[in-house]
Amino acid sequence: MINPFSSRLVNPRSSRYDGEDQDEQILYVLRKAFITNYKWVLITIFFALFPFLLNYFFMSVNGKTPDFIPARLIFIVNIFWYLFLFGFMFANYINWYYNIYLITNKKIIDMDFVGILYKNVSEAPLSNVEDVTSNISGAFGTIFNIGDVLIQTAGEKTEFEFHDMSNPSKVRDILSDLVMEERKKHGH
Amino acid sequence: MDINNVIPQLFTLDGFIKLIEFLIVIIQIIYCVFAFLITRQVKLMTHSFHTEASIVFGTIAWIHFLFAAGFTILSFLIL
Repeated sequence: MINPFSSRLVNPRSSRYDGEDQDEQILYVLRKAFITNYKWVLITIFFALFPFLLNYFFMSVNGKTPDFIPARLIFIVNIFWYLFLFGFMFANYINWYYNIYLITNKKIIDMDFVGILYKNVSEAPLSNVEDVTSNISGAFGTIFNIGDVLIQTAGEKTEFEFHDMSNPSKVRDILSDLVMEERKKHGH
Repeated sequence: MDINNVIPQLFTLDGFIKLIEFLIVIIQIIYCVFAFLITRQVKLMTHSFHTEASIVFGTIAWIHFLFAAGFTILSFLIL
């Protein structure tokens, strides 16, 4: 069972991407560190508690003036509130889950989905990777060991940026080793 | 319906509650569109990158949409 909050998967056997070659194998699936989702998680928790306050208000109003606010309206508002909250949470979660960076035995792939209506996929062969840099900046990054990995390539898209990676030095090391192997294979 | 009768009714409690109920149903209809877009987005995402969890996400997205649609109909009927 794969951890649904994992930001790094190694050799995911059952995963495949659109455009994968027959002899290609996904070695790593990388996502932003899950803790970078804290904003929408906190918003969800806050708004999940909000109806308790609202219902207390409704009850106090109806206690003084019975049927001031119809019970059917309170019921509909409550259910719809949680439905909306679930939709908000689900949309944010899948957005995180599918915004991935793939490292295969042949390529690096950057798959971006922005909001619910935009998709962008970039890829570069490992043999085109020229330089890999990692950096960690700010208090948040330093505390949680989260940073970016910048990959310079020779090609149309000259720079790949893997943002908010957990342990970016490890990612840089993995990529550098794979690039070295690929170069040895091709006799560079 | 005479518009001259509708506007003064909005300033009564019953009229105001009716207006709120009408707005809630409208928001729910808009939400159904959003829920449907999520099902399309999940389909696009799972097509781009397939994992063990793809079928789970697809199912959740459809249940969410069907629940939103059903709930909107229910709201329309009881409000």
